[in-house]
Amino acid sequence: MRRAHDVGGMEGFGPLTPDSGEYGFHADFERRMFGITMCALGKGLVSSVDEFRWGVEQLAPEEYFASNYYERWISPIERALFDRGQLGPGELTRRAQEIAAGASVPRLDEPEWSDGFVGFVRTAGSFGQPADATARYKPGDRIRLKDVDPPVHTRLPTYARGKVGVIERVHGRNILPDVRAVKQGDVWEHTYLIVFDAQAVFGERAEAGQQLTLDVWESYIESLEA
Amino acid sequence: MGHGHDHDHDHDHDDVSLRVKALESLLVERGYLATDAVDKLAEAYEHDVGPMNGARVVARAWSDPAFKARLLEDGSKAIAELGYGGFEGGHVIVCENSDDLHNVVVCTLCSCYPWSVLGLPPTWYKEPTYRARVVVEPRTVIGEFGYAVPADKAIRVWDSSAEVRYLVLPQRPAGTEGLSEDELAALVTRDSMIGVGLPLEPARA
Repeated sequence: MRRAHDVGGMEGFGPLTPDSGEYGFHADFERRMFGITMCALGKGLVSSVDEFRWGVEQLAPEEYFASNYYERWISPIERALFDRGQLGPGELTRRAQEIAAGASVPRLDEPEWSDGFVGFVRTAGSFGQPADATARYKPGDRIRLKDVDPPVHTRLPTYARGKVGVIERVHGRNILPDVRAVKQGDVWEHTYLIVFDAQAVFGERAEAGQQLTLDVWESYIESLEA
Repeated sequence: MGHGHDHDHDHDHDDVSLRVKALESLLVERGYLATDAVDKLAEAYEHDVGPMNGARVVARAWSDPAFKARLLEDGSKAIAELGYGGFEGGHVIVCENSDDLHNVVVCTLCSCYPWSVLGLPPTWYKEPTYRARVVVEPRTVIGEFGYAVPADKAIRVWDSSAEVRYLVLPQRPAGTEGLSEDELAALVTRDSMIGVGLPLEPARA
């Protein structure tokens, strides 16, 4: 079912607000939340980036749209603790109240682990595998994407479902997020770069001559088209 | 509410900041967080990993045709020659702008972004307005950033929906003959590598 994060092509938004070239963080809570999330992945509290994204996607739409980007990261970590029986009802709120009343945040330094982990974050290579002979499609193939409505996490945006495009590249093999997000194992599939005529996706709303590309897992593809 | 979502729906900064501190405190107690790792990651992504890395890649590509060929053949491998890699940079494809084609990058489902060369994404890149609109009306959206893409230039929008991250290689500005790689890098803006702008012109650098 479509959730708040799946905004590609949604109408009604206003103009963009450019900035002056920023990167990094805007507030101390953003700085902390970034590292908290990386540690939650590194320490195995959250099993994969897919589980993490699915956690963000389960925010109620009104909460999703009202939240700061890093604020949206709180919920998946809370959920992971709760799912492991490590967070009781009301516990986070109580702790926040204690901190508001002057309690300090405890510190735990683990230099060896931290140096190794930060090094890994900053140098890790691809998590994918090269393409092999089992790839079902090849560059130049015209394909139709599935017109499905999955109940859980997927990386097939609503706007692309049922649409026809052309495969331009085989990227390699990657783990299917739809299954890993709900901790049902690692299913490896080929991923492909698909090119669409934007008007074939959005109709006359799209600007003429515009191309749109999308990366898809093989099981998102319904069929070869003539 | 369930799932421990027992906070109220007040989104002011103080409230969010307290909840993040509460979360950090609980995670330390349960062994899921090393404080010094959080500190070091913040430091790295605030100072060392940012668009200045991508600017060096672009400046090298403008100066060294053999490097540019390798960059277009295998983005992440060529980028690693300059020492940049890590999360959200393991499989990078470089999209070259030309007289006929302008490229622009988005992630409609979240905010996938090539951290290794651009750092963490800007606010507007992460917000629904950009993600919703740029796939449908890129010319208008790019115009709002101050660049009118010429009418005879096609636009390709790249929605980063899987594991590949995309970096735009802007066209080298006119009047930059004879500039050093450092001088060229100073012209390369973050926006020009996302595709919502152009590099600076030498006089304006």
